[in-house]
Amino acid sequence: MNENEHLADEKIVEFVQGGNADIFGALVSRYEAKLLRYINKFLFFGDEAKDLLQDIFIKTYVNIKSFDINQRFSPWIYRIAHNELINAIKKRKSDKSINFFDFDLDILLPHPIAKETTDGELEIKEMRELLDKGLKEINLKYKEPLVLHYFEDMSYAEIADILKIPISTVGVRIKRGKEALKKVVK
Amino acid sequence: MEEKKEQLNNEIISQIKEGKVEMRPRWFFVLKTILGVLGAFILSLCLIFVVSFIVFGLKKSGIILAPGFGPKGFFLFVFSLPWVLIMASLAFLLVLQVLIRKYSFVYKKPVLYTALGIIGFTTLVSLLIPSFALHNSIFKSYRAEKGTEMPPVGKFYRGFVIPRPPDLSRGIIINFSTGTIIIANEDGATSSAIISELTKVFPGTEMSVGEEILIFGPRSSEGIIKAFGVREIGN
Repeated sequence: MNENEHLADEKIVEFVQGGNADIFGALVSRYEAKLLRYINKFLFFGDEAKDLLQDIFIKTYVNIKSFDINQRFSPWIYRIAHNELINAIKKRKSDKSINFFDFDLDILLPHPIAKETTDGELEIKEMRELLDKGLKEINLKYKEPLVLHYFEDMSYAEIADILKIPISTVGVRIKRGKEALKKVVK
Repeated sequence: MEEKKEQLNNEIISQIKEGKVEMRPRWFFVLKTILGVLGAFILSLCLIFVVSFIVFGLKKSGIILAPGFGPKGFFLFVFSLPWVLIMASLAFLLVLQVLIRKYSFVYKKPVLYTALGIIGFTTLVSLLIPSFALHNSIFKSYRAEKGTEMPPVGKFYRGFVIPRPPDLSRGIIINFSTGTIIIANEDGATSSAIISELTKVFPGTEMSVGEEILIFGPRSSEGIIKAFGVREIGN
């Protein structure tokens, strides 16, 4: 496995696409912890989280030939994880943070270009603590960009690709999410 | 922790090796993309057809000119709009949005922009292609087959979808004398209209035989129109 450590994700995908199934294990090793942490943030733990994680990797393998190796792999696998999470949340009817009948004005209307803030280490640490305390209280549409930005170190553009929403909307949701979070934690 | 990691890794790799999990071939995704693009293209054509048909219907019936007759004309215009077709266009627009939303050049823009983009594109194409002439020729061919069994598209062109408001009459002047105009519509049916000093005649309207005009006003039980307004229909 170590021999693949120096390879970029996209290069590994190229090998998998070429028929080398064994090397897919390298991708599983790289993303397992990250994706598990992402899943846990949406209150899936234990066997439920493990099953979800396995489904994500299997979907990734099944659809790997649709991946364009000139793009970044990370947002692509998180997109699969996002879809699987949404399906799992839909099944878990008790979740009140998501209402599929809500019409989302955020993606309908244009927003001023949201500047991506470059938070310092301390600010990121504080935000992560705040998120751990109040994450389950805030709406999913704010929760996801916050988790992706502060825990998975994704840029606004990458989050836009994962959630398939405009970049300005990502900025607006992160801003509103932070405000909602501060209210909840206080 | 390391053991657990290895466990998941092994489970997935063994499922792959046992053939329980297989990669979808590239042609599957190519076909999916082609079908998606084809679907969007067909839907765009439907949208262009319906929008250009709405414009054609509004022009043909004269409804498009009704707001020029003041508040009464404006209300007539609003109530005479083909709402079924407008709703159908919105439904096409919605489905088209859903179909193309997965492409980054679409989802990176607010829905409002892409909706306006589609409306702009549809309108532009409707204007660029000779849609009025096309609809008019289909319309005329169905009118020529009057009495024969009409296929659904014929009903589409003969007032089933485009309402014909009774207060608007379009025709060519065949007789004009003080106080009365007689017009003939496309079917050759004639109507008389009474012109009084209260009738608003649009500037530039020539009341002479052979001119095509639009008369706004209610019909009496005898079929005589009490003209509130008259305007010439340009080319």
